[in-house]
Amino acid sequence: MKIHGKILNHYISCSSSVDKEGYLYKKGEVNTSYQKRWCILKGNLLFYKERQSERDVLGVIVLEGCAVQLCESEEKFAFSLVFSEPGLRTYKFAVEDQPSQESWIKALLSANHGYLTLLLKDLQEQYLEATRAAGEAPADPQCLWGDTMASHPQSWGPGPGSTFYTNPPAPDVRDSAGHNSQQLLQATAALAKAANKRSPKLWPKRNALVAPINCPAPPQGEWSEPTEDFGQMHEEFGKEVKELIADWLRQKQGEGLGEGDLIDLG
Amino acid sequence: MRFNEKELVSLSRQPSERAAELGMRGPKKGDVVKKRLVKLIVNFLFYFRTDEEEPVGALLLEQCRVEREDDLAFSIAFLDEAERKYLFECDTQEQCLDWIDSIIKASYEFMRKNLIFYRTEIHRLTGKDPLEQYGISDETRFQVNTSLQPLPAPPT
Repeated sequence: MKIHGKILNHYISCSSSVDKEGYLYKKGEVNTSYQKRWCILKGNLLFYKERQSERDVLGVIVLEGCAVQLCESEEKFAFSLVFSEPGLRTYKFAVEDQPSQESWIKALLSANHGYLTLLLKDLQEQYLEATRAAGEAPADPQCLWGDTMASHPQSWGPGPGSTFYTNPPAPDVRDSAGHNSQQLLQATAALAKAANKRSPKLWPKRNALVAPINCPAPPQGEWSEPTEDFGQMHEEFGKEVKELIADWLRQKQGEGLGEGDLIDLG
Repeated sequence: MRFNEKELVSLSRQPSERAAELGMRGPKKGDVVKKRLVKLIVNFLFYFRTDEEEPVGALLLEQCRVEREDDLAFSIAFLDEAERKYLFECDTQEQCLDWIDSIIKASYEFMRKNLIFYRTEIHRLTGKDPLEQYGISDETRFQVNTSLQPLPAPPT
C-alpha cells in the first residue's frame, strides 16, 4: 500500500505546531536494542528521526487502533504501543524519568482521532448551551475564519453551506468513529462501572488502553455500552494513568530494584 | 519513510465515515480517471481497486485544500511544493458536496480550529475555560496563538 510520503513529509515540516516532541528510546524490530530517537507527535502520527537536527524523518507510526501500556522491560520508565489485532506490532519505548513517561503516555493516549472528535462534540454542546443561556445566536465557526482562508490551507469551496455546528445531528460515535474510538468509549464505561468495586491491585479486565503489566489485552467483543460523554472518559483516563504509574512504582520499589543506569548512554 | 503498514491496512478495514465508488485521477500528467472504492476513515482517505482487500494507497488529509471542480467533481490539492491535485468524480451533486464536507471536517487542523473557537467563546460567555475541568488547558494543541510568531519589539 502506498503511503504518499511527500504528504507526510510536508505535514511534519510545515510551520503548524507539533503536539509534543522529545527524545525517546525506541526498541528496534530487527536490531532489538533501544535506540535514541527524536520523536515528534503531531495529530495521530508519531514521527521519529535519528536526532533533532536531522532533516530527514526515518519513519512514522500511525496511532489509530492502539493501546498504550506500561511494559515489563529491562529499561526503567518504559511503555508500549500495542496494536491489538492479531499479527500487528507492539512498539516499545523508554524515557529518562517518570514525569516524561507520564507526559508521553498521556499525550499518546489522547492523540487518536476519536478523542478529539469526542472533545469537539462536548465543547460544541457546551457552546450551544452557553449561547442559549446568554440569549445569543450561535455562530458558525467556519464563517468567522472567512478572511483567513487565504492563509489557511483548508478552504471550504462552495460547500453545502454547512451549518454543521449550529444545527448538528448528533454524530453517532459508535458507527462512524474509528476502531480506537470504540475502545475509548467502551473502556470508559467499563471503568466507570467498575470504579467503586475495584481494589487498587485488580484491574477491570475490559480496559485495554492503560493496562497493567501482566494482564493481556482483552479480546474485542467483551465491551459494554459505549459512553458519549467526553468528560467521563477524560476523568477516568487521568485517574487511571496516575494510579497505574503509582502502582507500578510501588511494585518496583518493593522488589528492591537497584539504582544505577540501566541504559548505557555511552 | 518507514510506516506501520500492517496497522494502517488494519485501519482501512474499520468502519468508515464515508465510502463509495468514485472516479479517481492522480496528480501526474497523463494520469487517467480510474474507478476506485474510496473510504474516509479518521483523517485518512484510503482507495481500493474494486474487490481488493488491501488499499492501493492512503492519503493523509492534512495540509490540503478541497475544492469543487464542477457539478460532480471535487479535488484535493496537497500543499507541498508540487501542489499535486487528486480529482474525484461523483455520481450526484449531493454526493459531491457530502464528500467535500466530510473530508474538510476530518482533519486535525479543522478540529483544532473549531476547538479553539468554542473554547474562546465559552470562556467569553461563561467566564470559564471549558478545558480546565479536563485538566488539558495547557496542551500546546489547544493554544490560540501557537502558530503565530511574536511581534518584533517596537522601535524606541
